[in-house]
Amino acid sequence: MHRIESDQALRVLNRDLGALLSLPDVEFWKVVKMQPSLNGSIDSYLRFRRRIFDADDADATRSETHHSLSRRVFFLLMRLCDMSLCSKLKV
Amino acid sequence: MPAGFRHEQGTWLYDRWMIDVPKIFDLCVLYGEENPDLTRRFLQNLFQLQPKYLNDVQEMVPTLVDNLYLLEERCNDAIVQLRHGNEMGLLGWTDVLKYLLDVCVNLSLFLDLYPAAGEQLMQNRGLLLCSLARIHDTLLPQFESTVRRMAEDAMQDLMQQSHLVMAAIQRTGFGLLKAAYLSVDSEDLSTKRMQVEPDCTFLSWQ
Repeated sequence: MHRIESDQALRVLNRDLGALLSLPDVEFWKVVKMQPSLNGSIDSYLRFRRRIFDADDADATRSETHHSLSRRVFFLLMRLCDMSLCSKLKV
Repeated sequence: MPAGFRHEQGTWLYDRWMIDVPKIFDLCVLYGEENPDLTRRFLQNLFQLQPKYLNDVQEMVPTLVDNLYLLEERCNDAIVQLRHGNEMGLLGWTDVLKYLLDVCVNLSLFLDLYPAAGEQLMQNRGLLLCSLARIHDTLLPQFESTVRRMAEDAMQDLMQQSHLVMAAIQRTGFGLLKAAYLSVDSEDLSTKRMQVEPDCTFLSWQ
């Protein structure tokens, strides 16, 4: 049950990040500044995502959702500190 | 975007903890090997946007050194227990080795991607390098020689993990020295005045 709930949470986060990254710059920054939960979500994802040296990494991180979420988290952090990338990153 | 936004952006990111040192290291570990160029670009932009993050990296070093020192003390106590035949001394070693591996992987990947931080990490008289050197040269060999005498199959896993950690410490130690003294972006070596603890035991390369 925990695995199903966590997969669902990841799908929701993935979907929401996709929508956020699609926004033009002004709207993007408005949402980022108004969403206090965003920081917590990103923090949790980075902290608890399996590392390459974790023995039980395998299947959990190979799904399409995990792959897409991984890219979007990275792109979000890139966009937060590099304005020139805003319109160039494909999400 | 309005003028002055970039300054505001850097301040906001920092004050709201949107990005912090733990996230920076997480990013290096999770993305740095498969996407080194993009990760490098992220770090360069970030430290340019908000130099306070580099200060935070430097300020992290004393805490990390303290943690490694406490870890050494506890591990030395555990080794004494093991030598007296008390197998309780084995408890927690897997976590210790995982922690050390995590620290070393974080540091070495970060240094690979942003060697300019070597100077920050080698401040405080190179104590971080010295702490890692002690663990590599003294603690882990003592642990291995103690465990080797126990001759049980379960010890094989611990020995392998210990070897892995020693290799990771070597890589990290080399990365620290290279980034601090041999980086092409660093100042002329003749102007460097890096002081290292006089009793620091340097790594014995295998």
